[in-house]
Amino acid sequence: MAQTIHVGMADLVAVKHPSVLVTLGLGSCIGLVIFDPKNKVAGMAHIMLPDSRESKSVPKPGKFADTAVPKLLQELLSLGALPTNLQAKIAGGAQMFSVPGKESGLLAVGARNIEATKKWLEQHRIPLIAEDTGGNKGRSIEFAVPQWTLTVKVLGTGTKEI
Amino acid sequence: MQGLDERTRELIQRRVLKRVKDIPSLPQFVVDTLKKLDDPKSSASDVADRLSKDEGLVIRILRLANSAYYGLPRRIVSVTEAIALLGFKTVKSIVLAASVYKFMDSSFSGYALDRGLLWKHSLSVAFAAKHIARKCKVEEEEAYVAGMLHDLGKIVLNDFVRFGYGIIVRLVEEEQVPFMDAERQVLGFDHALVGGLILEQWNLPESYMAAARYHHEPEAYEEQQGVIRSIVDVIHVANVLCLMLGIGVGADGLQYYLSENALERLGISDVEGLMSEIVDLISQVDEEFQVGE
Ligand SMILES: [Fe+2]
Ligand SMILES: [Fe+2]
Repeated sequence: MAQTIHVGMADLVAVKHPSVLVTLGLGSCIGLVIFDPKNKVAGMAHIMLPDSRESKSVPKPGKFADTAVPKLLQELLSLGALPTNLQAKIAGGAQMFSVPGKESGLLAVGARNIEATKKWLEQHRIPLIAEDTGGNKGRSIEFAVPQWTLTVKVLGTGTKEI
Repeated sequence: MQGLDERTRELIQRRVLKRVKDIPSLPQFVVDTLKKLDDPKSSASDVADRLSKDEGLVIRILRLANSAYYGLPRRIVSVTEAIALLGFKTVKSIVLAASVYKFMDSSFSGYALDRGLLWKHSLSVAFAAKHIARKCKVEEEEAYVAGMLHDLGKIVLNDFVRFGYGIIVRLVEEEQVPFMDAERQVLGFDHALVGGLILEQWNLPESYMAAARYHHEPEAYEEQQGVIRSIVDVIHVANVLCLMLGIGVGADGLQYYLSENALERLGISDVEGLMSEIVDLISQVDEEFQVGE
């Protein structure tokens, strides 16, 4: 039986058994999954912000893109994943409406989250194979291990699989 | 846009107003308790006695008071203790928050909010508002309560939003108008306006009404200065940041504007830093979000 595991704000979870990894309520945040289908290892992070700004101790590495990607990678490898098998999917990174004629840099947290997550995946040579990002809507996600499907529920709209 | 015809809209507006009228007022003993808590001459046991009428309410108050946020040295088991450790002012806002719990304790499917999510969102905005208020030297407890109440209009408008949902969504998507403007165009009311009406009916202070009324459009509030101006701005920012963090986000999603003027007036320049602090704070109060006992 697949076990359902909730990944809360700024959390990060890696598993090596049939599971459904769930994150409820993504706004500008990113739900990141990385998995090794050959060795059947997978993990999810609920990233809130792009950058830890080198703050010395980050008690929850899942919180920032720059700390979440390496930490999740490390946990997957310790469960037996091989770096060359890894693949990633992401969802989230929505934005508030921008006031017409006023491009707000301050509030582009969603876009910055998407960009930072992609950058760190690239740095670690993990291919991003699917994404559902941007827009102005909230999302909830479920990742099925070992089917490797990411079900994205766009709140108030519908569900898609990526 | 294919909207509702004039007659249907009028009917809806009458029904919304009727539903607002039908919202029960806060129980008299709660109102009395709040007065007692304002009066420096009252005693803690006096207040506790009054509240003992409603056991469910007392349990809710104690859960909130025991939240890690307040950092009490031990788990408290009575309202008297809560007052001794937290003071009248804080307990007053906790009593108010606990009193509106029952209004939010269900699902609001028009907004795609499962049971507990409106409470979670409201409580999170309350804590975020309190945090921002402290940083920006605005009255903290007032911000907390205003945060708790800001989306109250959703409890009434929910059924109507469900009814007009297809049209509202099309309007938001095709014309990129904020969700609230679409509510207003389609239904004649939006949840901010309705929230203000409920609070007016409850006879609560003007700052709570203004915060509910203007939480998505702080520029529409006319005063440029003063306490209420600051509370409106604090609630606006706290709400937007909680939506961005995905806390209790529903069908309306992030489909609202953020007023940079509000940030400026409050002197907030590091939005991401503030979001980071709010994440830590909300993680502390996570256990309060469980619905029911
Ligand atoms: Fe709202
Ligand atoms: Fe809200």
